Amino acid sequence: MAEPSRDLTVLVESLLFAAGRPVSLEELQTVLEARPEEVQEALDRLDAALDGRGLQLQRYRDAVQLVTHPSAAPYVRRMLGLQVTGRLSTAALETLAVVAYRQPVTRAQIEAIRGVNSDHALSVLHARGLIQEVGRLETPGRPVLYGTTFQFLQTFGLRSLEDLPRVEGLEPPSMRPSGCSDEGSGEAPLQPSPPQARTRGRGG
Amino acid sequence: MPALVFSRGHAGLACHDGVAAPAPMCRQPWVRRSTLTVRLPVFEGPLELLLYLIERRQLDITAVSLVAIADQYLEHLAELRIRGAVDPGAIADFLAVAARLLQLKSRALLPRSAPNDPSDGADEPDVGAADLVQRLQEYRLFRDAAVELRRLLDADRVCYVRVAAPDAGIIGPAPLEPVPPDSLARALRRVLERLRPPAEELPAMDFRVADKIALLQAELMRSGRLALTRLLVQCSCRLEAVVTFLAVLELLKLGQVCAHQEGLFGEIWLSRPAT
Repeated sequence: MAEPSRDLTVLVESLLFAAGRPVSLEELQTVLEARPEEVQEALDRLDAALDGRGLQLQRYRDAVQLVTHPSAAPYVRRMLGLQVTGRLSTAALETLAVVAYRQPVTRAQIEAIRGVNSDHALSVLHARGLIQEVGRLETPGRPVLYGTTFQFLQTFGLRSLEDLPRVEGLEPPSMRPSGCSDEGSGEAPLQPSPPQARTRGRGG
Repeated sequence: MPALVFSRGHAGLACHDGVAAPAPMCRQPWVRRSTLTVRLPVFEGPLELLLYLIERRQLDITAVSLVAIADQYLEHLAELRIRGAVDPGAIADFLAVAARLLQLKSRALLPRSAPNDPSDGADEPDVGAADLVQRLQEYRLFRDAAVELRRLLDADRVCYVRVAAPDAGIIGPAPLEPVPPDSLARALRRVLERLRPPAEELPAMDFRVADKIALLQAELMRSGRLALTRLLVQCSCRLEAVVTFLAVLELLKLGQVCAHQEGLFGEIWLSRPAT
């Protein structure tokens, strides 16, 4: 199907620019009529080519989007007349940290770590578009699992969750679908690891 | 000393006191103390407070350090209650940890029984302490991570997506021209004139697009051109107006009628196509 002359890297960049939103790898495969590994390679080449440029790729789960460089933030705002987003409370940031590093994570798991009710912090983060529901834990009550969003990556200037600040003792989650090329379907597993393994009880 | 209030009886009793109505005898020393105490940072949860106390004294997070700060923890709890800004649910979280601390401390103060007597449950407090220590250590990780995230926020590294979709320039907003106020007034008057009292009788609901087409064609042959609003205003009910409008659309589609508008929001004139 693919004519030999076309450069997938160029096409992927064009599509991401035109979309102006996160595009799933599956969408790229369909539009480009390309194999998953071809799209993945094109993205990797694009990622490398964008080094030192004013745009960069952001990847989360099985989607990718093209964004401005973090260093341009104040100028972009000035040009478009955008407002700086409001401050986040320490409680909200703490909750966000738990979600970011431990995702997918339930409310109970968050509260077990923080030792305090986190309803308000979660609703603030949700309203700010920094977290989202990413599924449900298959245990009694099927509690909601929370994960971060593209808005989170944008707000903190991260290219992926692997860019999360290094904190000794905390592993940034590896959310990039590695099974993409193996499966051929482009469907990323919802959870990189069984969340049950992370469930921790509250009491001793 | 506020710590007395808690250690005097059982921690569970103090919990009930604290949430419902503080007994007057307890209140007095707290009030007195609050005038002496320097205002401390607001602590949202017990772990945050514990960590603050431990780090302030530069202790490692161990069971020993928990015992060492137990009294201060209780003092801060009293401070929290004085401020009254903490809801009962949050107080319960603090009190649960307070009970744990008191238990640890009492175990540490009491003489130990024979170390190799397995029947007296001497290991229990250590298990409880280990759990609290582990939770504290884990909590500290995320508190540190939150500090890192705050640093990123303050560095202002927001990435923006392209905000304008490509089709925005093609469709564009409606070409509104400036409208003088009196033309708005005229428009309102026209609408009011069009309003008529509702019909006394229910009209027969028998309107056909084909009939209307024939009618419109005859009208056009006779008068040359028709004002669309006039056609619609003449209708006896909404159904007739809809049918009339559909008839106009059909005639437009068939090319048997031309529509011409004089200006933005102006009258739409229907006429026979020039042949």
